Parts: sequence; C-alpha cells; structure tokens
Amino acid sequence: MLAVFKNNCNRLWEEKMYLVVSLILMIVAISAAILLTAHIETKGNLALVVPDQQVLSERESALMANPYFNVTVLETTPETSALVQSRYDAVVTINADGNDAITTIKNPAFKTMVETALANPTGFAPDNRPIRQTGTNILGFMMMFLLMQGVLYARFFAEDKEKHLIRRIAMSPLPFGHYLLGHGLFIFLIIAVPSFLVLGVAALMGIDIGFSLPVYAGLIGVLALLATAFALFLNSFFEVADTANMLGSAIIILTSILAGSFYSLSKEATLFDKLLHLLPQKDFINFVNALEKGSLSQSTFAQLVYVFAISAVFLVIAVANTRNDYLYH
Amino acid sequence: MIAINLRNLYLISREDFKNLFKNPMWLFYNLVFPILLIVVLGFLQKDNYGGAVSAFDYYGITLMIYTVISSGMTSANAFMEVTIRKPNMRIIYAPGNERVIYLAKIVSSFGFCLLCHLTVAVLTFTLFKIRVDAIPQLLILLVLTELFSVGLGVMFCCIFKTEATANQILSIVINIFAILGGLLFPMEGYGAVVRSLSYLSPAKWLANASFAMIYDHNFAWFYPTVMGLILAIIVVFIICAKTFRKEDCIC
Repeated sequence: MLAVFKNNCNRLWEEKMYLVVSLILMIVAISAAILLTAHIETKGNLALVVPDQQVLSERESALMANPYFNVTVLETTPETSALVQSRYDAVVTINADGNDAITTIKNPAFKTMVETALANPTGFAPDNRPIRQTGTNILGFMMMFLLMQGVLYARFFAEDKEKHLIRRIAMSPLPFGHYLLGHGLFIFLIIAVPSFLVLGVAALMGIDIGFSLPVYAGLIGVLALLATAFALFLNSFFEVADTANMLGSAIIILTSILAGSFYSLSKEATLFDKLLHLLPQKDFINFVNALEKGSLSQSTFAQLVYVFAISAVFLVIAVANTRNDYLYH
Repeated sequence: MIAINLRNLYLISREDFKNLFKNPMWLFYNLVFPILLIVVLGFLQKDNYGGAVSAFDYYGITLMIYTVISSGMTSANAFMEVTIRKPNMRIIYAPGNERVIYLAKIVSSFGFCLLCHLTVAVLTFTLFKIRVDAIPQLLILLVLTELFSVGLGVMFCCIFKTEATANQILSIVINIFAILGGLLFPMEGYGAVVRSLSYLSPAKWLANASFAMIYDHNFAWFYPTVMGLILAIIVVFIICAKTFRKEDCIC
C-alpha cells in the first residue's frame, strides 16, 4: 500500500510542471472562495427611483436606514436586464402624487414583503431566514472544487488502467484493497494538505474564516475522504480517464448545485427535499451549518455519519469492481 | 509559416468530427448535461420568480453560456485522447504541414460543440419558452465564444503537453469564471465588492451583453464583448502556433 503511495508521489514529482500548476490552481480556487465569502452581503437590494426635484419623504428616508435593505437612489428606472440579473430585487418608483409603485420579477411573497417594509420602514425586520455564516459559505464553495480535484488526481489510477499496468498488479502479491488504499491515501493527502494550508495562511493573516483550524482540519478531512472515495468509485467503472473525468465533473457540478452548496435551494420539507438528503454534499453542508450555529443534534450527527458511510460504500464498490474486472476466478 | 493545405485540413477535420460522435461521453457532456442543468436549476428556482420573468429566462441564458465556455473540455480531451494519438503520429510522418493536427482538432470540436449546443438551445428555449431577442447578435456571440473556448482547450494542451494538466486547469478556471460571472447563481445582489469582482470573469461580460440585448435592446455591451472575443481568439491561436511541437504527438 505504501509502495503504491510512494510510487504515485514519484510519478507526480516527475511532472513538476503539473504539480506546480495544479497546486497553484487549488490555492487560487480556495482563495477565491475565502475572498468571495468575506465580501458577501445578503441584503435585499432595492432601487428607489426618485424623479428630479422630488424630495424624499420621511418614510423613504427611514427605508434607506433599514439595515436589512441596500437602497440605491436612482433618477431613472433601471433597465430590465438589471432586474433579471438580480442587481435589484425590486424597484420602488415614487410617482408625482407621492404614491409608490413596486416593480419586481420575484415571487408575490417577496413583493408583499417589500410592501410591508415600505408601509412601516422603521419597525420592519424580515422573517428570520436561515442565513449561512462564513465557515459554511467557505466550505460550500470549496466543496465543488475539492470533489472535482479528487476525480482529476485519480488520474494515476486511471493511467494504470489505461496502460494496463493494473493487469500486472493483479498478478503481484499485492491485494487490490491495499492497492486502492494506496491510491486513496495519495488522493486524500494531495487534496487535504494544500487546502488546509491555504486556510491556515488565511487564518494567520487575520481573515475571519469562521471555524478554528483544528475544526477545519477535521471538516476538510471528511470532504477529502468523500472526494477520494467518489473518485476511485467512478474510475473503477471506466477504462479511459477522459470518460470518468467528464462524467465526474458533470455529476459533481449538478449534485453540488442540487445539494445547495452555494446557497440553500429548497425551504419546505417536501419529498424532493428529503430525497436531496441522499446527496452526501447536502448532509455535509447541513452538518457544517449546524456546527457553526451551535445547533448540533442527533440528526445532524446522523448526517455526518451518512457521509462517512457513503464514502465507505464507494470505496467498497471501487475495490469490488476492480477485483471483479481484473482477477480471474 | 508554411501555407496550410485546406484540403488536408478538411479531410482530417472530417475524420476527427466523425470520431467525436463515436464516444457517447462527448455527446452526454455536450447534449444531455446542459439540458439536465437547465431543467434542474429552472425547476428548483421556479418559485422564486413571479410571472413576468421566469427562472428559465435567467438560467436558460446563463447555463447556455456555461455550456459554451465548457467546450474547452471537449477539445482538450479530443486532442489528446488515447485513440487519437496514433493517427496524430501518422500525420506527422505524412507529407504536408503538421499544424493541421491541432487546427483540425479545433475545427472539428468547434463544429461538434456548435451543433450540440444549438440543438440544446433550440430545444430548451422552445420547450420552456425562454425569452430571446436579437438572435443574430446572440448567434455571433455564441460562435465566437465557442471558437474561443475550443481554442483555449487546445492551447492548454499545446502549452502543457498533457491532457491531465489541461483538464485540471480548465475545470478550475471555467468554474471560477462561472461562479464569479453569476452563471450558476446570480452574483449581482451580493454587495458592491462582489459585483466589481464579477467583472473579472469574461462570463459576466457575456451574460451582461446577452441580457442587455434581450431585455433592453441595448447593444452597448455587445460591441466591446465581440471585440474582446476576437482579440482573445487571435491570442489563443498565436499561442497555439508558438507552443505546438510535433514531437509531442509521438507516442
């Protein structure tokens, strides 16, 4: 097992260009995640259209002071494309007679909320929406990149299969379980160590990253384990690296969005929402969210266990599948 | 640079083009995956929108941009695919210019991706009644972006000589661009800092140009974006020409 691991390290060392480039990109991706989440403001964006010579009424000034809204005063109505791209969530136009008109492309519930806010700007507070905190956001952004990196770093395993080296390994005394664990250890470390170091540097620079470093070490460990297991699982099905690669990135993008790694998608406890819990990313992000808010419960721990369990299942299938393909019974 | 025999280029591109259809994964990635993405995101976000503009109106456009800038993955993988290495080596030995190797990959994957993505666009846009306008201009953007991203994939292969590095770079760069540019979810509403950061991503320019044309008949973003794309395409082709070495195709 260690021999496979060492051999992979040597293979990587042979391609220093690849090593440097992939590490730099990993650092860039994680720094981008930290940078973005550090600056995210989750306020409602309103455009207040005030035709010239119109004085702001008391009500509108109060609206501008409301901490839940980011109000921009404009002279002309913003373009529709700005609304479509969510630059403004709603446009409030002040007519000559002093009445307000609200335009929005969002759902009626949102419009009602703006109307209430406009009617009573000082006392208005939106319903306590579960807003994510920094740590959850950082891990959510990192998740997709780490999972994709896993599939990409599984390329030595894919190369073994592509070049039929694996047939020789099948003849050697090395059990397949050990062989795959060697690959797994390599993928795990090459994902976990650089990403943890970037977070460590960020913490040393005094950037607020949400969790303490030991907690991050554990969380990144879980994520790296999932990435490793999924990468080996996927690659065990295909002979060619490209196929696993493209299918893997497609699956990861789709499931990460569905799991709400960037923002939570579904609110109600629908059947669909329950089905989404089959995705390990969803359980992981839920656990992280609960951990950051200090609302851990039995069910959130169960979600963490599920992530471990599904990683184990992936690994077992990967081993069984490879053994099935290359050992003669 | 020695003149390139167009007939050779055509013949090799045609074979490469046929080869792309043989791998079901290329078809899945360029045809099924974009449709899935649009359907999933559109339905999930449906409730957040009122009647005038639907979730599909936003995600249909942005995810088309995402699909198009991902074409680099196809061209990079088609360039260095296992089954295509030996044919590439034969071309080196054949009389004629060896540049046809990478030019043919660009041409064939450009044709393949364009065909797939147009199918996706026609299908989803009619099915979900996604609002489009200024179609000729949008098609110009589509063709230019497609050419750029396909060229980009081949360029990374030429620079780094291995498919693995090219894949790694492309997957990270494309997804950072996509997230920054608000392709997977709108980024505009997250405050002034994030908004200015998003302009670092070319995807943002494309999205802005498309939305301004569709909803406001505003072409102010269109011309700079087209100029930028043409410039980027020229740069990509020059880098390909400078870094391509026929020795790399020997296997």
